[in-house]
Amino acid sequence: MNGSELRAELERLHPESYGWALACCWRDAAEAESVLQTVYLRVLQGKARFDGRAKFKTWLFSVIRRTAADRRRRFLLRRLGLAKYEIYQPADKNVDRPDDVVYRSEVQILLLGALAQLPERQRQALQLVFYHDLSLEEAAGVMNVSIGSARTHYERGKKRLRQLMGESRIFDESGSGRKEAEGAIPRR
Amino acid sequence: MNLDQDEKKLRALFHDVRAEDERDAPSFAYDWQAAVDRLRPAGRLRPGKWVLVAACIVVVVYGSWFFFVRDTSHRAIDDSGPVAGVSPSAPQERAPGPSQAATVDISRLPSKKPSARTRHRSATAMEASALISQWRSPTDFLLKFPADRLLKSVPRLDDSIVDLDSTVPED
Repeated sequence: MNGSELRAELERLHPESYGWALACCWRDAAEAESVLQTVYLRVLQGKARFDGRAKFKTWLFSVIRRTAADRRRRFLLRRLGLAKYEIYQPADKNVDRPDDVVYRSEVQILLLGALAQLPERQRQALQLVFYHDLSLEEAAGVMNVSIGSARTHYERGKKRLRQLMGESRIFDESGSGRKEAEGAIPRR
Repeated sequence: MNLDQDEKKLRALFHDVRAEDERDAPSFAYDWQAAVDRLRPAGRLRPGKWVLVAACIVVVVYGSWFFFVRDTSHRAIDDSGPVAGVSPSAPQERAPGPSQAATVDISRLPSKKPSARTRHRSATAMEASALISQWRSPTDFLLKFPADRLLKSVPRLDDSIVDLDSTVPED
């Protein structure tokens, strides 16, 4: 894959890559954008090279996941180093930004809130399968785990998500709960 | 509870979120350009500029050598005069002995002609010294006054008063 083909492919997958970067960064938009830029930088530097062993999308998502984890690790180390100089108040990851609250429907907010309560692996498995329409095998490739492990994360995550969202009656037979929830805050 | 239906609903919910995210996604061109800018920071030089910088360094080093080292070595040779152990009229054939190695025939040495730059500098220095010897102060006349003759020479007793008066200012 030459440079122009690589760039075209990255451009085609850019919106999806942004969505995956968001998922890897606890839906922090600024951090997700930084992660994407770092991924593109690594591609330009040749540090991340597509060898054709997997699908391009799987490879790219794997690079994004590793880059996000690397940045998060560095951030934590930096914070540990500075911890003695500051009073650290951890931010609540479930708190949405005002624009999210305004523009997203209540159902989406419920879903994102429930997702945030899941362990990282389960959340990633669900995100890859439902959000990005990947197969479990591809999701396992992105997460760098075995298929069996990915399946376990997926099943447990789905069960836990159903429990968390059960109160909102989204998963009832008629589906009326979802309509009620969507009607509570009109979508833009 | 139908699991297939649950999955369909979940998928639909996730797709709604995805649609919102994709709408808010930054442009690819912006992120790509940001990565390119990070790849080549502003302070870093391009390869072509490195060649230019190297050429400048070579020119500066060569220029320094030409003006200082080379000129100093010529001056050292010029100022040294006859070197100890070097005799201008040394015989070419001499009996072999312990002092032969120290005696060198100067006629066989390369001629130590001063460079054009050295000659030019010497001429300029001589010209400057000549000009200084002829220099007169533009305010020199202020130090002179009409009774200069009285002060600079002692009049004799038998001098004529007429001559003496001629030296006194009329005022």
